[in-house]
Amino acid sequence: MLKDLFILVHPTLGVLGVLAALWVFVEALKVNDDTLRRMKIASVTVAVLMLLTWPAGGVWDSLFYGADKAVIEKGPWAFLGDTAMETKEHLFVIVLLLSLYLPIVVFAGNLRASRGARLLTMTVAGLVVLSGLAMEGAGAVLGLSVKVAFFNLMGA
Amino acid sequence: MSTTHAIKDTGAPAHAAGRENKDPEAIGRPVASFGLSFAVAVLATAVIFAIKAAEPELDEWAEEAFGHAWFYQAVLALVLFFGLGFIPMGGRLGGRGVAAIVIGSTVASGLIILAAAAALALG
Ligand code: HEM
Repeated sequence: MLKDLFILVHPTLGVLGVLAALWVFVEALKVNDDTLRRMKIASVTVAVLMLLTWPAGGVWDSLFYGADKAVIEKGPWAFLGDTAMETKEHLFVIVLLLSLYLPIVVFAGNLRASRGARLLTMTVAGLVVLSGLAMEGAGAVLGLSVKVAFFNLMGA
Repeated sequence: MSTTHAIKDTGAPAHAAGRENKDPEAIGRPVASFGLSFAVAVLATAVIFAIKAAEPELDEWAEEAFGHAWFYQAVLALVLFFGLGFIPMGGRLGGRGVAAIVIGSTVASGLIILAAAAALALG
């Protein structure tokens, strides 16, 4: 049960991080003192949530994924499942660095005056959203790979 | 060129200079430096993964020496990101330039990672 709860933690943290990045993106459309204050809070939230997602997903990977991998490799989605997992492990590095870069841009980027800095903020926040959704999609493929393998083993 | 770049090239945020920097392209120098260090770190991650996918013995050796890939690849990238980010660079880049570098390196490394993952899964 605790193990099952554990698998829910990292996607939850990751998705909340994606939502916080979307919040930064929307605030960056029009920058004033109020939106800048909220962007600072939201961008730090993105960094903290993604930093927490990292060990939360990683510990599951190290401790529990082995059994699921063995099942996946007996099923028809072995190639997709393995590709999704390898992609997740390495793509997350991009998500993590974008999430740490976002507060640097928001705090040090001269956002009130600089159109370029605003564009960069929206770019980085938008990329956190897109790459975070890719992680979500890869996770869904992983989950389905296990399910399809079980159906197959049961002859369904 | 002259006025715009004179302000932009300082690379300092407006408050650091004690005045509002009106240059619409000006960004703080740490923003440019960390944008470039981001690009180096994610491309290095992708290239290292591609090499490991091509040489599975190297992958096994790395796992034995440094632990699981989810951990050591991210630690390496963090070291590059923060190590290089604090070195002042890219002072001439505006927001658009840094955004282009960030998008380009993200897309390129994302595609390399996807291809290497598929190659590894094919075995
Ligand atoms: C933005 C970050 C992330 C998001 C949104 C995300 C999302 C997901 C989702 C939705 C699943 C499917 C869960 C299920 O089957 O019910 C999943 C599975 C998984 N994720 Fe993540 N993930 C993220 C980061 C990570 C990281 C950093 C790792 C560590 C390498 C990781 C490792 C795993 C593993 C091992 C599984 C497979 C669980 C299994 O079925 O055995 N994830 N992820």
